[in-house]
Amino acid sequence: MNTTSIIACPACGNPISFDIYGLLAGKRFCCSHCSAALALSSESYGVVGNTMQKFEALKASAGR
Amino acid sequence: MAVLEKSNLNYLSSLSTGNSLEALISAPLTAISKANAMMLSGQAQFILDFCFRNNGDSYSPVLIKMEYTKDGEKSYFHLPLLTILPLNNLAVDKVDVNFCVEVTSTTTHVPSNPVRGNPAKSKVLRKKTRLGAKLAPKENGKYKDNPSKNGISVAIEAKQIPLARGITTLIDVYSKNIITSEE
Ligand SMILES: [Zn+2]
Repeated sequence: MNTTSIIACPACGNPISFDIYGLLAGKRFCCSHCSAALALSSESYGVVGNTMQKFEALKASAGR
Repeated sequence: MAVLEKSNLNYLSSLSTGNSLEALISAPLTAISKANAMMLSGQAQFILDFCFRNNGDSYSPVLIKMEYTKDGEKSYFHLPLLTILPLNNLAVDKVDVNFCVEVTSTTTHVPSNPVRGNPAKSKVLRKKTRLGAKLAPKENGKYKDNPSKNGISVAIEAKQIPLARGITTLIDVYSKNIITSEE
C-alpha cells in the first residue's frame, strides 16, 4: 500500500511529497525548491495516529 | 499494485454434491462482488466518520496542525485530516478462481413462453441446455486431473484506483488555500 501523499509547500507552492508514517515518526519533509521543512505539530499526533489505526483496521477487514 | 489479501475459500462441502455449472462458477464471483462493494462503502463511511465532524445539518472537516520551518523561523498552518491520509479507492483488481468440475448431467428443454417479438423462432433455436456439474472427485485427497489442487481456491488481488473526482477536488481546494500563522 502506497502511503505517500503530496502537499503544496506553504511557502512557495512547490509540491512536497511526504509519508504519513514518516510524519508520525517525527520526520521532516523538505521542499526541493525553497528548503522549507514540513512536520506534523505535536498537538496532532494523537488524532492522526488514531485515524491511521482505524484506517489499517478497515483495510484488514475488507480483505478478510 | 498492492495485494490486499489472497484468500482461499473452501466451497467443497456445499458444492461437491452436484449443482448447475452456473451456480458453481457464480458462487465465488458473487462473493468477490460483495467484497468489492464492502471495500468501497467502508471507505466512504470511514471518511465521514473520521475525517469530518457531524454538526447535525452539515459536516465540517477535522483539522490537524502542521508546522514548517524556513530560514530558522517556525510557522503553523491547519490542514484537513483528509488531505494527508493515503486514501485511495480500494477495488478488486484481479481474481483467480481455480477448481475442477465434472459434468454430471445434460438436460435440454424449450421454454414454455415464446420469445417476445420473435414468435417464428423455431423450437430448435429456442432450446436451452442446462449442465449439471459437481467438483471433480478426488483420489487420496487430490484431484485426478489436477493433482496440485485439493479444493476450490479463489485468489483475490486488490489494487488502488484513483480517488473519485469529488474527493480530489476537495483536497485540491484545501491544499491551495493554506494560510500560515505564527501560532
Ligand atoms: Zn517551498
